[in-house]
Amino acid sequence: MALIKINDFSATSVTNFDLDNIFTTDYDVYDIKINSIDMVNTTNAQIKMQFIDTSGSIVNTSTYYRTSFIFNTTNDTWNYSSNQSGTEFNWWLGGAADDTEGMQNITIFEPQNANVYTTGMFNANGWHTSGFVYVQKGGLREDTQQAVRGIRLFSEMDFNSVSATVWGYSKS
Amino acid sequence: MSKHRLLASEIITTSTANAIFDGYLNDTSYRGFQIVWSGVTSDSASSGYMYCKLRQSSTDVSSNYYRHTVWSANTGGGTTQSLGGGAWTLSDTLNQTYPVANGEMTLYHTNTGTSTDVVVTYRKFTRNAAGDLVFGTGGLGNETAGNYDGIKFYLSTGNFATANFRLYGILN
Repeated sequence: MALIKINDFSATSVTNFDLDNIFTTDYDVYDIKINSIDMVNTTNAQIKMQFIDTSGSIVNTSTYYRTSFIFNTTNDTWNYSSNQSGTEFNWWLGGAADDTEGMQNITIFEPQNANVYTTGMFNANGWHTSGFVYVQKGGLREDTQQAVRGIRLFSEMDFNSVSATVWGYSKS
Repeated sequence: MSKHRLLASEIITTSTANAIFDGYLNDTSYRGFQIVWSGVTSDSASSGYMYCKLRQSSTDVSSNYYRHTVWSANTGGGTTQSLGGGAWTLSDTLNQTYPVANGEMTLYHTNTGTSTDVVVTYRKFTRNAAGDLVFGTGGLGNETAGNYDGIKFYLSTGNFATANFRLYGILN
């Protein structure tokens, strides 16, 4: 076996969606697949993400960096988008009803290694209420050398419902 | 049931020139192969890139037919697109000051003789020698079909100081 399912998560009517105790020394690399998201309203929004440290506290410092590009069906052009020294990672979630907000795949590298900066990559797609589909892809880096054990997902509004699956790439 | 199988690992903790996987990419039990790398750092004061080349019968395949198309998002300079070359480029600039490179690639048609070119999808994320974050994604190809059975990763300047490479097979 190589790609091992660690856990399934789901929640309804929550402000924060925590995937806690998912990172262990059993794996170096993880895939997090957000299977469905339904927000409380259809306003365009961002998905936001913070790490949970080994004591269970949210890493809430201005140490989150993102570089990315966005493609949308209105202009057929890749547009650059970054966020540096943020208090969380963020990227477009879009806006729509009934579980059709964007799907998200996140890869995290070496979150349990306290001697390196935890980094990641993400693929996202969604529907903007102005009437176009977009794709956003990018890299993530939390600028603190520390081990982390989980992630928190949140947005400008609450989740109606949300589900995710976490996978680990086995080392042996 | 996962369709991934861990086939081999190259875990580098001291100065090492290459990470080589020979004799795997011709296994017809698998329809493709995924390679994941994390924590890739250089031991050199001078900046270089991580490259890779296919191998056949334990020998590098050196040609000018390693094609790549990539869109990159760079906090130091927006987006770029690049093409072509004598090896596939899998990181931005690395030196001993600014680790680190992470990423993954999935290879198809590695061992089809003369019938089909090798095609690869990949994503890469580097904090480069200038301290910028560079994410890239795209496709790779080798226009000379062959019976490739191996692959080699190396730096254009210096040796790997640390790196984790893992090769997975994707079952038919």
